[in-house]
Amino acid sequence: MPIPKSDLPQGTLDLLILQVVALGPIHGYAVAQRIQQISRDVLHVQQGSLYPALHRLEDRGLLAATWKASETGRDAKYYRLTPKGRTQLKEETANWTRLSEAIRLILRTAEGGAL
Amino acid sequence: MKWWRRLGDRASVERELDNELRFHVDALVADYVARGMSETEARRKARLEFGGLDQVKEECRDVKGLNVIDAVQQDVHYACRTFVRNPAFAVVATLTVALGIGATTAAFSITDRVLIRPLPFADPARLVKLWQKRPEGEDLLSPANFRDWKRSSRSFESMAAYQRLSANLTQGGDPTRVEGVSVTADLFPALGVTPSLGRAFSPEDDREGAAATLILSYGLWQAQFGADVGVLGRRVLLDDQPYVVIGVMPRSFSFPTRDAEIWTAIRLAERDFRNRADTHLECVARLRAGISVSQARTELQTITARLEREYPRENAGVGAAVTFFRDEVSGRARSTLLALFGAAGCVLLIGCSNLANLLLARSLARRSELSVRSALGAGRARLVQQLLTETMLLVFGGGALGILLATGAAPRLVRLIPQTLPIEASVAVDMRVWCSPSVSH
Repeated sequence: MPIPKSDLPQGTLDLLILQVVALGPIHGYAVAQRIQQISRDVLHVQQGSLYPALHRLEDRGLLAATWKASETGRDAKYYRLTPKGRTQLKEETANWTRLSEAIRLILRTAEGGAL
Repeated sequence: MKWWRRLGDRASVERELDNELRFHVDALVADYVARGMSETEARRKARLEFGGLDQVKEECRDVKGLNVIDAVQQDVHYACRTFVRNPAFAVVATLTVALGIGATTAAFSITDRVLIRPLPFADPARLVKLWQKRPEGEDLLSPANFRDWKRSSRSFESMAAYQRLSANLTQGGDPTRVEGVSVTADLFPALGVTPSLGRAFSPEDDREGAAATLILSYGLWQAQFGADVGVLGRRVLLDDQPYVVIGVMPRSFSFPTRDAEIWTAIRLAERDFRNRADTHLECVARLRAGISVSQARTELQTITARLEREYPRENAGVGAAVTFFRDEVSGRARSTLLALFGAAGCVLLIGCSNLANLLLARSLARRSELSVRSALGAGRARLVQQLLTETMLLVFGGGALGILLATGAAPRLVRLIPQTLPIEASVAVDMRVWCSPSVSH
């Protein structure tokens, strides 16, 4: 049975990218792979939105990029987190945790009420 | 990297983007091949999965703000090309805008000059004119009444009188006819102006029997006296009476009207005060700070009521009227100017609606072009941007032309500035009018 795939809620892609890049310099293809792997194939990042997002984050100074040889020997663009990006990641993580906790609470109460 | 640096380094940005995305696709292909697909199939699947490479690139360029710059350049080029191809439209549209804006600008400049801009005197909002008021209308003052008003009233900082004169000016050669005014010594201080050369009238100059003194306008000094600084102290004849030149007024000064070229001290004599019914003085006064026109009017009416009791024969029914000096603009000049401004405004509005019609008609004609563009992937915003760029070009072209027109036309409208205003006969199109094209847009 294929694993059901979920769409990413609006605005969460940036957070996921920041988190994945925080683990170490990484190129775009690997970002997509990594998100897919870590989420156990639940989350698939559309390439069409991945690259604009990477470039947007780079533009806002949250990511920095350098070209260097990849594992296959070919040059790839590697992204890493800037200090500004690290702060942003902390803030957004805290924000997301608070939000999802709140949503979980509400869902549970509603469930209790229905029972 | 800032966008302007990207702009300069456009080629390498593009190359980088291309390499990055190509790397991704190749990595994807390699993955599929590793899972046992054939090279061709893997490439096809990767392509499918990745979606349109160009679309992704487009979005990345959007993020970097490159597209906007490109698009503006493109649009400007394209708009210029269409204008060249369809010059009739471009010319008509630009002229429509130019006429509307030109008319409004010229009319605004002159209306502003005459009706809005303060008079060139110190604190002109406090300057008023005083009149004797009779049931049949407003009248000049008699010297006796002027003296009594001046002595009894508290509402005014100063009160000055003057009388028009017209005389033959002779200085050696042929006489010339000059217009001028005899003034009391406190007139120039009341207006807050001083001569740019020499001195103003002193109270001594204004006494009965004092030597006759004369102050020249800047224009007359230039034209008749060769702008000679040694003019002070020179003797001239006014209607065969000897006068001594004591000063020259600044270039911008004129009073009470634009055509006045000389000022003399009025030197009211005792016999001038004898006939209270002989009204021939105009009176200008400066309100004390904080005193309103109606307060001044009330006070003057108390005074005139007393004078009426004291001189029931000459002053029967004589009251007082106080009007702002600014309102000297005759009602006709005011309505002419307002009508001109209104008409110009209508021209602008008509121009705008004509332009809107033209653009509408053109957009109908261009429907197929636009649908082709949108079929090729131009977004709604992109199409709007393109049309806006075209319109902006038209409007700014028209606006610039319009202001040129106005600058040319304004001097021709100078005749509309009433002679009865003490302001220079010049209209400058001021820079605030550059706002009007943007407004009309």
